[in-house]
Amino acid sequence: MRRKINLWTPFFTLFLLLGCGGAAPPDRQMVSAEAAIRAAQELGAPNVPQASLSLRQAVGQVDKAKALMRDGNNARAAMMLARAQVDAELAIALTKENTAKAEAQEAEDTVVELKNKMKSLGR
Amino acid sequence: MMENRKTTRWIVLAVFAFLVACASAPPPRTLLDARAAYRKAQSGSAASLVPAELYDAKVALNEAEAAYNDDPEAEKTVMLAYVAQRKAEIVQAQATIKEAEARKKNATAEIQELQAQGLQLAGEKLSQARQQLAVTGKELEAERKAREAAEQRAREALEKVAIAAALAVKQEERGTVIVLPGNVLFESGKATLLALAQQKIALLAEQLRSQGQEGAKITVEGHTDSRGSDASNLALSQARADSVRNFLVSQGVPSQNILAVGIGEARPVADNETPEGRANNRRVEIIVKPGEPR
Repeated sequence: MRRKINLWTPFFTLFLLLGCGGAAPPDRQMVSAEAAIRAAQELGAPNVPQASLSLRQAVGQVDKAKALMRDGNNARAAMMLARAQVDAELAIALTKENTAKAEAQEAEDTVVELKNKMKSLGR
Repeated sequence: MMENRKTTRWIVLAVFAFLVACASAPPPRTLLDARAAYRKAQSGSAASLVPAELYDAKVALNEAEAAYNDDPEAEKTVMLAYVAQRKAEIVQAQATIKEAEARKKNATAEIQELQAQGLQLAGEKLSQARQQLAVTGKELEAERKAREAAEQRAREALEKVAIAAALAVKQEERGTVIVLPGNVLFESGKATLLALAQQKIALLAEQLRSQGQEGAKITVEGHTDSRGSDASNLALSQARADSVRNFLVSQGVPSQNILAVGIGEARPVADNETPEGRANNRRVEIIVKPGEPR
């Protein structure tokens, strides 16, 4: 009876390790999210109100993910990084949108200005 | 037997009620937001401008819906819904970017067209201005030549008349100068024109009248020799100049164009120590300067 228990012990230990050890650290997601945050910052997201909000959310979620990873909670950290990734990508898209709209408006203003000048020249 | 059937019926009803209660649990707020964001993106221009990105957003929403069906309250369900919502918002932003780029492209093309039109217009205006300038230049040149020719004719006519009257005439910077000797014009010390002088001046008057009417400025200068005081010489020269001026006016020369000036002995043309020199210094000069172009 005693010998039988000893035979199951390694299997039980392996089962515990597989169940509690969980997912591997989401290092690649971390690198990707941080790269997206840097790209948003370089594009000027901090100067665009809506993009700035998304960027702050992304940064906060990366910080939370780091804390979760320190606690060994890699699965939740990965989910937090997935949120950070899309928030950073949204910050990038909103910054580009802001720039594109401003450039379009500037070009259209130039058209109006030129038309007025042409009118004053007599055509 | 009847009791067992009743019990079974109640168990079935209980299980059904439980299932209904579970199935009607409301979806998480994030999933509702994700659905709304996707609908908004789908109904806008994203379908035509960024179809591939819209499809990705649809896939993300489907994943969230599947997770919700598996476990409505799982953290994974909320996370996938969050990702789906953000992807739908990203798609909307990308569609707006495409629209803005199209607006900018159209405006840039219009700017180029307007600039080309502006250049053409400026060129036409410049060409017109050059043509106008050339015409004006030619007109001015023709006018200048005509004026010079008229002045030349006037000078020649005046010279002919002066020569006919046996008067000296010379061209100076101040104009055509006709010299009337004092001994021909006046008795010594007086300012009344002699009859011979009137005849000679009358010969000039007609020519001076026409030139005066054309705007010529005529100055009559009286000069004396150096005998006598400066004051008396100045007064005599002024009186003699006035006398000649009055006679010219009486002959029809426009009075507003004739000025009489007494110079006295200040500008001799010969030596005052000899009788001949003093005779030359006693004189009246009529200076005719052509009028300025109007």
